[in-house]
Amino acid sequence: MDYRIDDEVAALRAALLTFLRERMPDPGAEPGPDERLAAWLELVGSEWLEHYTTGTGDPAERVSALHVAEAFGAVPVTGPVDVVAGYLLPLAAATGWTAGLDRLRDGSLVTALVPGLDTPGRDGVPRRRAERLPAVRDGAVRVTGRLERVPCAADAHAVVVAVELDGLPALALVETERDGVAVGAPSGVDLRRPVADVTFDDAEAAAVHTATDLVDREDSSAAGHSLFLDAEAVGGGTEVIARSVEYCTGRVQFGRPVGSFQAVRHRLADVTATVEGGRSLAYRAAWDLAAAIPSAAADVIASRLWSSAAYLAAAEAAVQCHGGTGFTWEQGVHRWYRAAIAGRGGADLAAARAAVAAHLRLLATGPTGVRVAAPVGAARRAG
Amino acid sequence: MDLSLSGAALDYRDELRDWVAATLPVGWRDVPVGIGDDAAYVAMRRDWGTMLHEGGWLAPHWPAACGGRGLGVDAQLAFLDVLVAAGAPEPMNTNGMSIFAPALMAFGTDDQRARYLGPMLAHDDIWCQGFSEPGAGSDLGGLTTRAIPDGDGFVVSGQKVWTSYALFAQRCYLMVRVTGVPDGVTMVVLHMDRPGVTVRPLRNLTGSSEFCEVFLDDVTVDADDIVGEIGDGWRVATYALARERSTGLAQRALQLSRELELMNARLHAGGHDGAALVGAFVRSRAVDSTVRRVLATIAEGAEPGMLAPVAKVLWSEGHQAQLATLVEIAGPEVTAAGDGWADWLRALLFSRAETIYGGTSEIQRNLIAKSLGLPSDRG
Repeated sequence: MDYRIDDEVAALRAALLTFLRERMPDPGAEPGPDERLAAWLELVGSEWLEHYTTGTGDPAERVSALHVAEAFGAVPVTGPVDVVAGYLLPLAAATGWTAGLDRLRDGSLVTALVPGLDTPGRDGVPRRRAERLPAVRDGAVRVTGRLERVPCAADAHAVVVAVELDGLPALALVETERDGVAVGAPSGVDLRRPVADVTFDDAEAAAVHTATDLVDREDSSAAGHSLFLDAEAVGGGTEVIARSVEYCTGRVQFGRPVGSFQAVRHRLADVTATVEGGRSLAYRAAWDLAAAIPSAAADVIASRLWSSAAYLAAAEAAVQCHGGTGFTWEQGVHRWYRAAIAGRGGADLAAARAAVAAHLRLLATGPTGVRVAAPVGAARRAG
Repeated sequence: MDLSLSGAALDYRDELRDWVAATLPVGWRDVPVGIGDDAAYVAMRRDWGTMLHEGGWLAPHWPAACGGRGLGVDAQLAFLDVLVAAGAPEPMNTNGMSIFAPALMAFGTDDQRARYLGPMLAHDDIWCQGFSEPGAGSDLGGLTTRAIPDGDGFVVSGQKVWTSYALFAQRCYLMVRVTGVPDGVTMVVLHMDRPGVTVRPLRNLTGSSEFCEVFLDDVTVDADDIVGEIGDGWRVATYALARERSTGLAQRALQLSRELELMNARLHAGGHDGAALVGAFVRSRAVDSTVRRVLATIAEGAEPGMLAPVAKVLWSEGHQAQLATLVEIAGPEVTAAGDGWADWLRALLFSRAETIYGGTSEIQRNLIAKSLGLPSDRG
């Protein structure tokens, strides 16, 4: 057993942080569409997202990938980083979708809706299932339907859509400039990833892909995406705590640094404990998922619930500890707070809680019958 | 990064699991942790410690020369996992083995190790901790228990308080202030059967009395019972307390997950809605993962640093919150202590101690804040 992050992985993360800080536009400065697309092209060209295409089978590599992904939480970056690195690239690689991989790598901004948690079945094992739009063959494959709240859709060149084609699950890559595709106005609290509704009306797909195990691969890739978001949350939480420590060390009131007041010290200590708990759980879930340990499926959901709350708590503390400058845009804390609250909102809390509750029912009763509820204190003690 | 157990630890775990399944008396399973002051409860934990020792299972991560197996810390994690999964009690000497023994290995003499570690593992000697005093709780610097040099040894007078299981202990690792020596804080071994030692039980919130006051009135301490050098007490105690916050709380923290399983089963069987346990489940996974992270960090030979107080805060406050959900879900049954809920209620009451002992939550947060680099609150 050891908990060391390899020097190579640590160096990788440091290099990514430097790259993102130096080369990516600040979402707080509200860069225009051209600047955002140029940045995306550079990010894809830098091959940083490629890191997530492979290496998900080895537990240590999986944890390392999360460690590196924390950089995307520490530095807010415009574009569907989580969708592409956390979901689409691993999914395309796992299902052998060469055309999809090519498109994800050519600098196009491709986005998608990552499948959400399904209503738990009788076995209590949580699954993620995509809502599939109908697709038909009419010369080309044509897609009809509506996707709500697609991240970065307003900037997207193409959307990967889960479809049902010939009665089978498939993926369709639909270019947003095609006839029959309408993208709504972007909105949302997260400056990095505004969402928009996308409507398809007999829209022609540029590429279609299917695989026998597609639905299972979507499920496992979506679980990986959930952990990617956890890594972003842990990275973002750590960053806002570090910024708060720095600010509260320099900010003097009543003749002393505000960070010397116990109320401030303890609030930052408190959210540190919460964020570190999140890091522990995310790494553990990633390891166990790769090692095919049965409890991992529920842990991935627990990790999303915990990390999204931890990030929000840290961001709230950061706004508070920065005082008035935390509320105004000058210190930039709002960028992380907005990302954190968007992450909490996007965690689909009701579905996540239902999935955990189903898991708890399974633990209580077991798949094969009623478990004996051994009362604590079965041993009678004298006195 | 390697979160899996080594082959040696896995072999040890599998053998231990079989042994526990065959050996642990049914009536000893799932007795709540850390509660109960009566002789039968203490005898159970003591006998269990002896049985584990005779089977050769205790302290697998200690060097063979000290009575262990010379395995890694991952074997200790395997030990805890097996015991917790089986619902087995904590061996009585957990405090001594996890807190004092590492300090003795680091700072003691060969003679002291030979004299004390064997009987500690065998549970012939039960150990208690003599740190806190009426005027020295979180601020141990206020300790006033005096050790006056007398021949080669000392004569010790003073008072210790909140000393768990002092009534049943043969030995105490004791912090004293040696007179006539600047900064003379020193750790010594106290023999509880010496003349001048008076133990009085203190009734606590749960109604039980395993906490005690220990009065010392001209008690002799031998020269060869000084641990480390005279005046070295802070270093020895800091080392011991760091262990308390890391390996020491591991069993209790892992126990939290087991307890949640039992709560879950019990509440479902009683027709209660387990959905109210979702938050507790999520928290239990974060606690469990953090404690494993601390052990994995120690296993590689690194210091856990800030993670130790993080784990203490997450565990102790998480455990309180977890038990408090019982009142939210099955309120009247639990608070009336009826229908088998009495032990749960006592565990709930006892959990209030967990954010106080081993360094209060406030002290833990101070440690975290210091690690973060925040300016001192002492000006």
